[in-house]
Amino acid sequence: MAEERSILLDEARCIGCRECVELCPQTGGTQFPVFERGERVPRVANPGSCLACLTCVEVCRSLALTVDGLRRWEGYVDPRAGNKEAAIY
Amino acid sequence: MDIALLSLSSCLGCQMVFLSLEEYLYELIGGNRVVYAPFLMDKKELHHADLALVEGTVRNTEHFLKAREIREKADRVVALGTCSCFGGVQGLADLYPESRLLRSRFGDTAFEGGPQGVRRLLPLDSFIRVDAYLPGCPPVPALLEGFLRSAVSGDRLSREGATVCAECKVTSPPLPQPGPRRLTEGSGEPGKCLLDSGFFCLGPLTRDGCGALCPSGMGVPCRGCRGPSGRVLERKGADVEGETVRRLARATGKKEEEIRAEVPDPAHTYYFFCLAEPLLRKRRSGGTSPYLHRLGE
Repeated sequence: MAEERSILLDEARCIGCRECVELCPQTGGTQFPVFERGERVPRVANPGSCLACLTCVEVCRSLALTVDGLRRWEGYVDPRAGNKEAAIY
Repeated sequence: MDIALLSLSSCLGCQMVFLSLEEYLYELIGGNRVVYAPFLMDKKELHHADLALVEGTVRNTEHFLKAREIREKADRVVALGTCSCFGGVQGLADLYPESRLLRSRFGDTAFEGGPQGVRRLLPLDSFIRVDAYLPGCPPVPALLEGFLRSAVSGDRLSREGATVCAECKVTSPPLPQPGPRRLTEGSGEPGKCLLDSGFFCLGPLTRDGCGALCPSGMGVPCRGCRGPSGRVLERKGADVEGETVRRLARATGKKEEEIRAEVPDPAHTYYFFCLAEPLLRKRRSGGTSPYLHRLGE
C-alpha cells in the first residue's frame, strides 16, 4: 500500500508550460490522472495516483514542483559541484 | 571591514555596478573602508583586506600572480561576476587555438615581451581558493547590495537558487509556434514564454537572482549570464544543449535533429557564459568538451 503522496505546486513560480502534464506517465488517458490542465497553471487532481517517478520535478523549468515524502534523488551528483553550489549567491 | 576590489582580465563592468548601488554605496563606505580599488581610487598597494572582490579571469601569468597575492592578503576572496565564477564570455577563447587568436588580434606582427598567456582559460577557483561566488554579467545592483549586506554582517554568503523561469512573469502560448528563431527573425508576444514561442531562451538552465529582467520585461531571450543553475551544475546527467533542443522541438512541433541542424554555433548558443567551467566539461550526454580546442593540436 503506497503512502499518500502530496505534490506541491508553487503557483507563483509556475509559468504554465504544461510539460509536467504531458510527460507524467499517470496522467494521459488514465482514469485518475495526477495532473489536470487547469486554467493558468496545471492542477494537481489525484496525488494518490503518483508513482513518484519524479519526471515532473525533473522537467519543471521553474522548479515549481515538489513531491513530498521522498528523499532527494542523489544519483550522479558531482560532489565538487556541491561545494561550489553551496557558496554561490 | 576593509574591502578590496580587484580586476583581472575583465571589462570592469562588475565594478561599475558599485556606482549603481546609489544610496547603499554611501552606507557601505560610511561604515567600512575601501582599501584597494584601482578602478575607483588612486592606491597602488594592498596590505590587508577582510573581503576581496575579484572580477575577471586569469588570462596570463601577471593575472595569476595578482590573484595569488590577493589570496594571501585577504581573509575572504569573492569571485565577482560570471567571468571569475564560470569563465564568462572569455571562456569562448578556448574554441580556437591561441596562435589563431593572437594572429586575428595582432596580425602577423611578432608578439614578444608580453606576459605569457595561460594555456587553458578557467574560472578563478581553478587557480586560487575562493570563498564565495557572485555570478552575473554584471550582477544586478539589488543582488550586489544583498550580497554586500550579508558579507559585511558576516552571514553565510550563499542563497538558495532556482532558475530564471521561476522569476519570469510570463504564461505559455498555444503550441506549436514558429521556430526555432532568434531575435533577429522576429519578436515574441509580450507576456508569453519566449522558449515556448520558439526562441533560444536559456531560462530553464540559468541561475535566478536577476529578476528575469530580459525575458520577462524586455522580451529578450535569456542568454544565461548568471551561469548554470544549481541543478545543471550538480547533476552530471544535466545537458544544457539537449534540454533546450527538446523543449524547442516540443514548442515548434519539429524533430530534434531539425532543431540541431538550425544551430550553426552550438557553443555560442548554449554555453555563451560557461564554456570554461570544468564541471560542465565531461557529461554523459552534452557537456562542453566537444567544443573546446584540444591543446597541442
